[in-house]
Amino acid sequence: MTRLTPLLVLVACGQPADCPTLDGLERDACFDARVRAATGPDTVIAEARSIHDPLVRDAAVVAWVRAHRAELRPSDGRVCGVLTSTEQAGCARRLASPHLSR
Amino acid sequence: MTTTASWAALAAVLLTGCASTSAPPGVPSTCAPYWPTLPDAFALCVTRAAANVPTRAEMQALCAQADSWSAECHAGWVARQSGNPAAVPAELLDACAPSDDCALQQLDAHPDPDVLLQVARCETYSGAFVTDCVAHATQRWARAWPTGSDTTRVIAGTAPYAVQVGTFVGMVAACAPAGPDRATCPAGEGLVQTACLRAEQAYRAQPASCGGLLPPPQAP
Repeated sequence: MTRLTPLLVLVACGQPADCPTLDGLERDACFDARVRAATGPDTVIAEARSIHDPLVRDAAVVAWVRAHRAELRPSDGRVCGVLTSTEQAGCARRLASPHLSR
Repeated sequence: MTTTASWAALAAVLLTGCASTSAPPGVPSTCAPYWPTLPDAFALCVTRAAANVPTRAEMQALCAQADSWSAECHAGWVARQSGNPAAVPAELLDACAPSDDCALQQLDAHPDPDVLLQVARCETYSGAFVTDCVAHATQRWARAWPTGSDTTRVIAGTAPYAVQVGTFVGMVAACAPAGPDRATCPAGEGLVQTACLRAEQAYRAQPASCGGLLPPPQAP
């Protein structure tokens, strides 16, 4: 449900899902949904870079890392690079700490 | 975001004709724009705000709005408070829940000097990371070169963690300097004995691996 909420809201409100044509938080919510649907770090990075609001971007990427941490390797740490400095250390620790990857 | 809360957020949007709905009371106004369409951004916003409040009660009130970010919310406040000289470690540890990782960090940062009491604290607070917490505690204890009698006491009090404890006792048996009450692997058959003998053999085969356990050189 979580990853679908923004997309469902856009659909429910009659908004198209063509993210670049949207503005403000609607645009960010659209890209947020794309980040959540991503299957790998490179897609996450590409979609996250289109999110203007740093807080929305951080939340989307951290949520994705949290959901996929068991599949991620330390070498996937580049995904943390799209985060603000506030979240980067925690993201890197999440990927590097064995007990957090189980 | 829990399923219930997410459905509630969606229902709120549908019922109000896509107009914005009010954020829960008590949350910072800067977080309101994210409610309810961006639940994780809202929760992260609340989490960041909670890290800066001075009291545990205020933190708990805010973190209650952070939904699936509640653990990060508590951990963020504890991490911030850890830099406060007036903060009481036991209270910070208690404030970690529901973050097991936060508890593990606090337990590692402020261990009880008695390894058995530390193991008991691990069992109380560290949740999913209890085995990691016990391993860290046992490793610290082993680095202090426990005697044979203390080793017997600790083995008797840590039966659920026989592999971890046995492994570190084996390291001590192989690496500790000779002394009158030197730790040895216990006699008999069982998990602790097997783990101990295996570790002892491995360290005797590669004494250089003992380096991390050796105490600093004594000053002349």
